[in-house]
Amino acid sequence: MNPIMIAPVVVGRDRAQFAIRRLQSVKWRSVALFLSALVPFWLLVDVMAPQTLYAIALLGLLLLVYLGWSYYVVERAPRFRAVFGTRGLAVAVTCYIGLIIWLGWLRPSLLALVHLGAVVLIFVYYWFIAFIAFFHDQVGRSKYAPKPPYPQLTVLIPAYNEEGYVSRTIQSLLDADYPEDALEIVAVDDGSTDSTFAEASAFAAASERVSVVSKANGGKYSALNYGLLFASGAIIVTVDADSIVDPDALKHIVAPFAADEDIGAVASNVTIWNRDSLVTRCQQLEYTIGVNIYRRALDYFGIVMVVPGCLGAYRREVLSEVFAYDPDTLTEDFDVTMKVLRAGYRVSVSDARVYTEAPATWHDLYRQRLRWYRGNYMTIIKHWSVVTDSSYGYLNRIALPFRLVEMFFLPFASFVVLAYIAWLIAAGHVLTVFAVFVFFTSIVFLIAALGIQIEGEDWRLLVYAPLLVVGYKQFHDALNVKCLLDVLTAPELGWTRAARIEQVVSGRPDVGVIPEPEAGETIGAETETKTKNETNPGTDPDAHNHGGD
Amino acid sequence: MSSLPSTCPICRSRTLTAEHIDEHDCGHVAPEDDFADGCEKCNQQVSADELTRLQTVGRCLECDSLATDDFDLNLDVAPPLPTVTFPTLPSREDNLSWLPARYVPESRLARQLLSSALVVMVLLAGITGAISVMPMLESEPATVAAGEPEWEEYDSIVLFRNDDVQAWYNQDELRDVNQVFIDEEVPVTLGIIPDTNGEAPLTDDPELCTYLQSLETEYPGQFEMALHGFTHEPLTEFYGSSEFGDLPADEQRERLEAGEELLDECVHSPSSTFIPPMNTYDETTVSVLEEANYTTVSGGSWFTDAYYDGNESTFEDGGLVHVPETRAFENWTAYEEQLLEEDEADSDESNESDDTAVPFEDLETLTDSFDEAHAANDVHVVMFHYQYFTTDERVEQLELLVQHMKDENTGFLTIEQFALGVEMGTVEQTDDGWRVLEPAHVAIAAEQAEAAAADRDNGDGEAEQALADIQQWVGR
Ligand SMILES: [Zn+2]
Ligand SMILES: [Zn+2]
Ligand SMILES: [Zn+2]
Repeated sequence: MNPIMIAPVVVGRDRAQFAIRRLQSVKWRSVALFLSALVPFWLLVDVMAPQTLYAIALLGLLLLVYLGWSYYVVERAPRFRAVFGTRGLAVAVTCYIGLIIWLGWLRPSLLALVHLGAVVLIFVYYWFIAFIAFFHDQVGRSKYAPKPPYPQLTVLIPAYNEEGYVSRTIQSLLDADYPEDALEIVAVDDGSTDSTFAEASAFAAASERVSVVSKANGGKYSALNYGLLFASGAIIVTVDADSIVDPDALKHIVAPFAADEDIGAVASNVTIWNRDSLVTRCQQLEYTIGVNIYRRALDYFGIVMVVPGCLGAYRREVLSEVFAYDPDTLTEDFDVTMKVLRAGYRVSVSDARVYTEAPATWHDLYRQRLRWYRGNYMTIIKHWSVVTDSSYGYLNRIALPFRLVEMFFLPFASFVVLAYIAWLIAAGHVLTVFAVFVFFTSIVFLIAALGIQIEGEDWRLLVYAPLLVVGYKQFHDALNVKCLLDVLTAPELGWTRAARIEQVVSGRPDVGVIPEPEAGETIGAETETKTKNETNPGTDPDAHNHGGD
Repeated sequence: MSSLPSTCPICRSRTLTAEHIDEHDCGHVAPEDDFADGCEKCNQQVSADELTRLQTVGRCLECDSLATDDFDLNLDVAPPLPTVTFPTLPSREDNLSWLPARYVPESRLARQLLSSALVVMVLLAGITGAISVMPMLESEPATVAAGEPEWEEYDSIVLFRNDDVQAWYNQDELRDVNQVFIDEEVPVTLGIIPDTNGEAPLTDDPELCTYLQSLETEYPGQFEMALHGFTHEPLTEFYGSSEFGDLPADEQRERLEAGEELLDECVHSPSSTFIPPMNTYDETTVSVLEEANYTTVSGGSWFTDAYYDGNESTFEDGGLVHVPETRAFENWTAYEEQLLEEDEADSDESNESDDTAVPFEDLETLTDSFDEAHAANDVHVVMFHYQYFTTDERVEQLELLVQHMKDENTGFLTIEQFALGVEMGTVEQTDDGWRVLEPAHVAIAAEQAEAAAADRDNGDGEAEQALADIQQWVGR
């Protein structure tokens, strides 16, 4: 990546300068942080019982073989793609557990299993994420550099009661660095009851590039589907009506389409701008070390799993091919991304940046995540066939297994460990618990520092690293468990309309979450479905939690 | 709801028809007419009640484009552009922006230095955190010093038994022989006679006791201090001769207790192995030992083969593990013949016979014997008496034997380590040999601690266990 050419004869001074520039091109701060993040791992290895070490090494080997094999069958030998797939992996892991118990490397108890699982996952997740982030940073941010010609673009802005926000979004798009004649902005008013429509219309009147369409209220998916009827661009960009798009974002987000025919959708990087509270700063740290970097990792395989609703781009014909958005999950962005992936297209990430306003109170965050996590589970259940169908390539072999462990194992494991630690404290071993806490915090701290260095984030976020170990993390795990139970205990949930699910699930008034028809009040009254969470203008499924561990 | 313009915004044509945009239950949004032949998305026939009207728009008959005229229709005059204020957005490039401006240096280089210093501080903080709590994770009570036990695989097991350690007797030889085991790092079981012939109580020889104690502390797990009878006198003719066999239970118990008392005083931790003098003992001995909490008895295989009528080299009977010696270093048959010959030749000098005169088996016999046991994945128990190692050659023969054994994949243990290990599962017989959790004494101590903790039914024991678990979790 260093384009400096060496002349055949280099005088000493030039050579020295060359060496200096070479050294400068290495990002030493990242190197230092990456290496230092290895220190706790090294300490851990040092004190670890050899049996545990063998067990981890063996599992690592198994996973490496699996990844290598996956690469081979997907890239080279599709005829073997049904061999040693996800089922094979599940069987292999089961055999592996049996083997290590038989070898005496693991005591046959649930707790021991969770312990081993935790250690392995900390290794895999933190180390893997740290490595990918580090690698990405050294090699250069993105392989897709924006360059003309820029394609015809239609930006869809679904808006429901976004008074005071939608104009900001439209203005940020008008300010964006993109050829004027190639950009069309369509605001879709989803039957707002406030002056959203008037606000957007003012822009439509003033600018040729902006138009506004309105429709009967029906939900975000419906607004997007409707908006598509009026979109003329070859590339469809969707933007939430409360997001602020970075001036360079549009150029960046269309770049991958030009580079690769197979790319069907492109994701963006989500950044929180209202960082004035504990809750929002925790979320930013979560985004920094989890979501954004995790996405970069999956990008290598073209299987980025969520194109955030905040800002995402799709090929027009791909959206048409999959019939755009479905009504049956709460997270239409995750759902539509899965559909694009299942249709055989690659989904990539770009350096496009979008600013969003995050929920600023625990209560709002709770409501936001309740919807995301329920939506996540519903989407996974809806697309369950991807788990078993080997024709989906990397999606089936890599993305889904990771995702399943994350969604179905980690939240529960977290609670086994937590209950155990609580019990230890009760038994008087406060000091040990404290030591374990400090130890894991220092790992998260260093990884977070690496993420902050790479993403150019705010160093003050580091203060919140301990909360990602205790507190914030358990809040999310608990919510995940709750949402999984919600989705499972209402059997028809996973396959039915989101609105109905919300009715079934939210018997209590407190849980009144998003697209909930208010038809109960007066029969025959127009049904209002919120395109988004009405109380908090920053709560869209723009980016899903891929919390590091 | 309607959004029907009067002219087509594309071609200015005035020929527009109303078009209803509907949504099917499956989510598909299309003009109403498109649903006439069923839904394109879900391939179902569509009934009217499955459609939701979203909007009515214009369809230009000239250019076929969809036309809405939303803002014209709803508002007579275009509203003024709202004033838009953007919040301060976090900047990506300059991650020092949060510092109060007066602290941010002017020059780029200084700023970079500041950033680097920040990184170094963060890095040191993180590493310091991890390192500082490490000792707390490492030094918790349940951890036994000496390192973590690990499983080792062996083809066979060798146990050495050095008998007749006693007060005042050939102390230099004792040290020479023990030095071989220290140098080779091989464990050995010492059979200690508490009061030889009732004339030499251990406690009268503080030097020996101090020496034995120093072995225990300096070489943990390497020297087992086992009781070797009481006076070592042949009191009965049980299987030739015996100090315990055939004696009444009470008498056996008294002798055992008297011996124990002396050994207790002499060494730190007497083992739970009993080595009966002359390698003989009866079932009474076993039950007396069992009552006194002994775990292991080590006689001779020639004796146990006959008395217990078995062919196992080690076995359990009467609540004890029996680990008889399977190989004597000295050639006792030759010695007896030699004695007889001497008797016949010169009866006057026969009682003067020198200890050195006890012949050793030649090295080849000893190594062959080991090789055979090794090939059979057996437990090979070598008995010898230190007092006969009076010359360098003799000591060297022991050394050579040990070295020969070490060339093979064989595991060395004390008798107690073997017997307890088998009991507790830290020594296991496998299809092709043995596996041992090593260091054996550490593994056994840990097992014992765990068992003790499990026995106690109060929360304390569980807490210990829990602590061990959490330590395992973090890698201990
Ligand atoms: Zn349909
Ligand atoms: Zn027209
Ligand atoms: Zn003896």
